[in-house]
Amino acid sequence: MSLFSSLQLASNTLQIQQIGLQVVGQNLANASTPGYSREEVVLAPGPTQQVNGNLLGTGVTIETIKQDVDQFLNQRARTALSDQSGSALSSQTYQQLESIFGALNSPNLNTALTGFTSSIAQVLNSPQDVATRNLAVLKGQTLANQINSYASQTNQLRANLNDQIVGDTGRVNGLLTQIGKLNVQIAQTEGGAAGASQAVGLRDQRDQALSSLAGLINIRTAQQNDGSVSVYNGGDYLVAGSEVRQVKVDKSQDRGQTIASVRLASTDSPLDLSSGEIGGLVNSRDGVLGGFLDQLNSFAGALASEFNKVYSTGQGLNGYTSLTGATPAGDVNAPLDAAALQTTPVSGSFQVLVHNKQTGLTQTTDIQVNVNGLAGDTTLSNLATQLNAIPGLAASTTVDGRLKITSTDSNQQFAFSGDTSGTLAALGLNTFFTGSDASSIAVNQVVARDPSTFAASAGGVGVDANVAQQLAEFLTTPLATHSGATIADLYGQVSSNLTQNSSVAKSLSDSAQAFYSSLQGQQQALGGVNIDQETINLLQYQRSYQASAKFISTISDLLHTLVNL
Amino acid sequence: MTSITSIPSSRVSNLSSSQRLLAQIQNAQLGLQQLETQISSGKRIVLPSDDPAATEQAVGLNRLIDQKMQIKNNIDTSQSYLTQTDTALANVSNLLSSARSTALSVIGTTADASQRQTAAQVISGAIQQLSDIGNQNFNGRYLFAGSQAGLAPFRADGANVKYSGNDTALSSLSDLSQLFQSNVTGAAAFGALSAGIGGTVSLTPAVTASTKLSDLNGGRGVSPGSIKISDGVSTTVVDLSHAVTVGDVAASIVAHPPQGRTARADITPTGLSISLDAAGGGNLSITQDGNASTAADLGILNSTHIGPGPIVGQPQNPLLTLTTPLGNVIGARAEVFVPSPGTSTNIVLQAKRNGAAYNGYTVNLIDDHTVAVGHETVSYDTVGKSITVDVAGGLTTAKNVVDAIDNSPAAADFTAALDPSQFKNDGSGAVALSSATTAGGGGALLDQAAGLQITNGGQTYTIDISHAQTVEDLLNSLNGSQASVLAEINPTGTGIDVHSRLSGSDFAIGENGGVTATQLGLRTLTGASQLSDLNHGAGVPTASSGADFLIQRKDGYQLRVRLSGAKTVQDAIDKINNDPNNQIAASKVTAQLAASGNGIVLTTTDTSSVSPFAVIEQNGSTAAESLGLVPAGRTQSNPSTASAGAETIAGKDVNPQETTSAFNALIRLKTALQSNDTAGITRAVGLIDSSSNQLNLTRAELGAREESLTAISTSLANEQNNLQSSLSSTVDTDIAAAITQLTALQTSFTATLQLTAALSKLTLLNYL
Repeated sequence: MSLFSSLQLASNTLQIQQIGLQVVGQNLANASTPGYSREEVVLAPGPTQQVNGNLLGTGVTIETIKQDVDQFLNQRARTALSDQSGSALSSQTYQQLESIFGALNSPNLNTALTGFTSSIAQVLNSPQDVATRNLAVLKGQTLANQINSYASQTNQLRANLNDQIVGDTGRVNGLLTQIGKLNVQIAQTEGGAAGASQAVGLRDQRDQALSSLAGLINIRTAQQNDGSVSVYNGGDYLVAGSEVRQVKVDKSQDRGQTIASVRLASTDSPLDLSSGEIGGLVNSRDGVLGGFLDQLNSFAGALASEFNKVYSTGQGLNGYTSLTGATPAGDVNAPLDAAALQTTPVSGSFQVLVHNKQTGLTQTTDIQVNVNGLAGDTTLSNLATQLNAIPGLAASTTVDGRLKITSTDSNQQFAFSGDTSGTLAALGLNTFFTGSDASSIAVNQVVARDPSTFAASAGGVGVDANVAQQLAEFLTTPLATHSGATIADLYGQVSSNLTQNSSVAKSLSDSAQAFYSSLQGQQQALGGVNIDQETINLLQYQRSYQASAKFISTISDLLHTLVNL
Repeated sequence: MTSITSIPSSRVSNLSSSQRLLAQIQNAQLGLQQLETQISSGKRIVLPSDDPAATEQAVGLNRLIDQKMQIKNNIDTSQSYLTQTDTALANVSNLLSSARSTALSVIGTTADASQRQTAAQVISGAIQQLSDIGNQNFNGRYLFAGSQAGLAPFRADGANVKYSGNDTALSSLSDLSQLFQSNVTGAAAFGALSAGIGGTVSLTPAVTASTKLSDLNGGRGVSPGSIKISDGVSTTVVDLSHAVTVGDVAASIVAHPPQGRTARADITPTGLSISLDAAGGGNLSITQDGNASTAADLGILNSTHIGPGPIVGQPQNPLLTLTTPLGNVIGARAEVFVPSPGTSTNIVLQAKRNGAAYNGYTVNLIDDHTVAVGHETVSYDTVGKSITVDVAGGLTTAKNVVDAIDNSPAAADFTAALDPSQFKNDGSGAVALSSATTAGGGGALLDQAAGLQITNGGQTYTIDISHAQTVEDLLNSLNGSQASVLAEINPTGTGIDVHSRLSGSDFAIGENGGVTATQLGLRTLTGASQLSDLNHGAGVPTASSGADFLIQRKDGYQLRVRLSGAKTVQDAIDKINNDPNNQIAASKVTAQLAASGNGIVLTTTDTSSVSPFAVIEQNGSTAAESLGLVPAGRTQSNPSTASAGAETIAGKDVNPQETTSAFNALIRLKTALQSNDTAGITRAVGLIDSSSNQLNLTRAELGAREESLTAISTSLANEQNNLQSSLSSTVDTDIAAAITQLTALQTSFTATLQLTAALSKLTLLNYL
């Protein structure tokens, strides 16, 4: 034991305290850096020496400079982040949809529906007036346009989300590459000795990248012994050490749109997208918007077919002189229930009225429709033959499978009544709406061009307004095909489904946000910088430094004394 | 959205505390903004998902409010029509009472012909005014045109007035699913359509395979469902929920017999008749499957039947519809069913015409080995009533037999067809040797050759119905004629009603040499006509004692006819025909209804010429005049006319019909005034009184309707208020609550800001 060795001890101490100060400085500098984990110098007493049989310490050494991180907590936080960003997106989408379709918006579908039926009730007030019928047609167009616009706006939203998915996929690839590179650098820096002095800055960068990645897709990570981290999605690894598997975008068709799905580039297997932003986007596009579109389509289909069923049994102020079905049959020689029509006729009958404008007389003919699977089922072509046999009418099928009926006498018009088979509605003859879903629903051009054919009568051309009575009550008439639900109920289902789901999505998103925040709080509690704590550390290192300097000065005095002997 | 995240228990970092403070400030600001939006927009709910339950309620309320608003609109519009109608009817009422005073002022003996001529001028003006009122148009609607509201309903037709509207109500919604009539038709207000002729004869059509189920039971239809058919051993369920016609029902039953059995379903003119093969025995029963009353509605519900059948169904009373074939209307065709074992084997033979004459024809299928398949021979014997078909036994198919009969002389009277009720019958099965007899024919064929005669407005029109196939064709023949009539199926669907559209003259429907009008129940003077109804209700006055009139026969005998006790026209005819002194064929005078037109006709074929054939009134009785046999104002009939060895005295039609309209009353009055006919004037005053009464009834009913609409309108306004306030409490901001909340939030926000400032300053460094 010599004075020089004491000096050596003191000099070590000074250096170590300086390192301590350096770390404090680093912590203070990053006090506001998000994602930064506090570093800590772990000190240990130096090795002891045996001097003259006594064990003496050799001062202080630095065991390690480590980060205060909990890998498991980080993993949980990343999962929570995935959930949070996924659910936030669904909720946002619902809110956007609500602002389009909202039941309390003005105008909304509810008001369009009641506006339409009210305009029909108005026909009852002045059945002789063509202008009132024209208004009913216009209100019908407003209703159809409104539904079309919901469909197109929803599709626009889906297209936007789809673009976002494509963009996000690019970001996923960027992050995967970055994590792979960082894995290599960390392994090199740490020399494969985990738990030793660690490559703190690089790990911070990697944690940041992993968090960003978790925000996009749901991932699971596993820390490897060499300091690298493996990233998994579902059962597939995305990063293992330096090896990275890229993802790609695959195009397919859904509900009339091109949609992108995300797959592993190497194996073509789809990614697990149960959470994360991309998961949220896919769910929003297919589940939220797609589901809404499905409901809207079935609502529009029910509206059109049920309205037509009633409407097609009526007659207008004027009959038709020429009429072509709005709906083509796939096969004119197949029984009508197998002819690929939009709605399926049943066995029954309808009547064709041939009305002479001059004499005011009407000739009624019963047309039987048999689709009971027995011999002699009605096909479109033999329907045309039956109609053609009616004096004053010429009927044929067109090349594209529509039924065309023409009056052969300029004084005669024709109309239809009493359809119990649903054939007229199915063929688009004497119908009000055409189309079968939200995008295609429209007012039949025939009645749009000539509103006087608006079929309000039940007893003959221009006779009464009994069909309009039923149509005016159409919204609240129970439908046998929908287990007694009314069109108002069906609208209520679409609207309340959306509202309830939106509400649920919002609270899910809120709770995911709260959970993520509390995990972030825990991360901060463990690894966040507290300036007061650092200040105390600063004081400690300062005092130790001062004490060691004093020790050196004392040793120096001793040496001086010794030298001056 | 204020979510509080937990504070970690171990350590606090500066970053997290500043983030927490920031989050709190943001939450407070967000809350303030939400409240600000609520207050400024007045709406509590910005997005529906803010309060799904309230939104749903609001959707329902909004819809109800819109619907009620439309109803309010309906009532307002209709009230304006009804008020206008009421005003118009008040004018009619005034017009009628002034016409009445005019008439009364010239009815007495003090008035002379020229005064009556002047009065006729006044009435002529009144008719014009009435016509103007009748054609009143308000807001595009002809008020009294019925549902043909786009056309002026009244038009002068010579001296008469023709109504071209109808008696159909226009209705609007006065509440959800509640209709009210928003018009008064010309028929109801003015009596512009005569009472319907018809209804004395039921024209319920025969049930056929193509009769729609919905027309059965007088239009009540058949409730869809399934029936159970059992032979006592096994039961089968026949689903009839998709059946549309009676033929479908029959086919379904035949296609689903109880296991191991063969079922037969015959369609008789009144309904269905179901049986099982006799060989299998057992007791056929037909019961309901489930709750629907399908079996009962079809009239074949029977759980206590003994034996394999047939269960003969209850009469089904199908509605008379526009498309009902005329052949099914007043009778049925004879039919026979020729069954053979196997599939696609059954044949049905049906007479081409109604009537019992075609019953009892026997169809024999006889084996003849000289016959080749496809060359079967048929012999038709109308005297022995048989149709014999020589077939190649075991080879000839049902289709061959059908073709053979349809190409034989039998085709003149019968139609052979494959039984449509046999499952998928294409006629390919071989027939068995059998014989069967036609039955079920009845009634008569409608006399389409003769047609009808309609007298209206002084003109006689012949209606040709020879080309009519369906009831609608018949109606079109009537409606399309110049006779100014409205023919329609009566409201119960059991017959045809014919109304006159013409006011001011007599209207009658008679025969045109046949029996058409009688068959259809349309003849206005029939044997059943009450004598008291004749001559516009004046009846047939009879002498208090002694004969009413004499019929002077050509042999010089005077037949004394005393009508006392006779109630109907037939009674009067019988009095003449059954008189004990009028039974010798050579000298007999026969009374009967005219073969053409209407009226009583006396005929004799006596060749003696002792005295001229005549009717002579007796004892001051005008009965002969009232029966149309003696011209008005005379005591003896016109000379008889001779033709084809017979002499006839043709009576005039004494049961003319007329509308009960105000127009009729005024026109009749005008005519009577012009012809200085005081009896006519008196009758016209009576007509004015009755049409005034009718008008007053209509006005009273109209007033009641207006009153109820006003009541509905008032309650609607209340309802509307209630709905609006419910809606408001559901979706509108409670301003007081929102402002209180805002103040509280402001306070807490201020506190948060102060706290943030204070906490941010706290650091150890300050104390070093």
